[in-house]
Amino acid sequence: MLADRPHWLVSGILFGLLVTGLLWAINRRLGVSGGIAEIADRLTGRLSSFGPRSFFVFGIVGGALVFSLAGSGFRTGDSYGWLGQHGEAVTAAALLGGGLLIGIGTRSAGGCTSGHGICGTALGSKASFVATMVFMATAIGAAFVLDGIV
Amino acid sequence: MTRLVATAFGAGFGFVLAWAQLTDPERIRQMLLLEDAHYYLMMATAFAVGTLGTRLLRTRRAHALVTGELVSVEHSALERRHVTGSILFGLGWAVTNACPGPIAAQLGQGLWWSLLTLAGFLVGARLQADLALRTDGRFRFSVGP
Repeated sequence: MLADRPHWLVSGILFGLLVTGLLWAINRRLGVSGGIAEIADRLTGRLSSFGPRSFFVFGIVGGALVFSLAGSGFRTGDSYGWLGQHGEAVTAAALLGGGLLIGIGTRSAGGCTSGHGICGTALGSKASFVATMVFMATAIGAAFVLDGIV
Repeated sequence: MTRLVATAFGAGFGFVLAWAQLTDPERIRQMLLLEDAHYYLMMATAFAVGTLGTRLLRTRRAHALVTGELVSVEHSALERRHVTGSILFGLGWAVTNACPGPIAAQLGQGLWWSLLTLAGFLVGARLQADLALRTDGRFRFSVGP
């Protein structure tokens, strides 16, 4: 069962319940990029401790690890999809550069696909709706451009 | 306690990310090239369930189960940074075929390439904070939507 992708209704409902549950349990919004930004601040001495948002990210790593143990195994040897076809040097450079853009961008925008796209929109934030429209449109456009030129 | 609960919810989130194969860059690429509607339908479902759930919590004036305070939500007003930041993020997402959640989940699945995406992210996030300070708030950042 874990080897196949669940129906989108299943994963969608689970994500919606996680957004609701986290707000209900500790009055926190669900989001990932803020947590990774917090980890960056902690690692570089800007913060003195890891907060709940960092721990949410640690949880994600753990949850995916549990899935690998219970489900389809680890992906240690995998190449990186479409980027992988262009060689290891290209993949490494693209992931570093792309990661840099994601770090700067999500911190400026105050959220990513989870914080804005799933949680902020569900909470009715206008800024989240706009941010989601913009990053979706940009990513789709850029994917087509990359597909055309690379 | 708050951190423990956050870790548990994160674990649930990471498990679903991996199960839904959102950690597979090829899946994200198919989504962005509009070859597969799966994740758009999933996001719409999550939005609908999340809207219903969080609205119920607020209209019933629910108190947080663990911390006890009234469940409350404040939004930041729409600013230019929401647009400019999201453009940069969208570009990075298209290049890496991974957004922040999947980057963390890829790590848990042992896809070591994600260490590079994460390294870029950490540097970028810190750089953004420094820029925000140096430009005296003109290049602002926030924590949360």
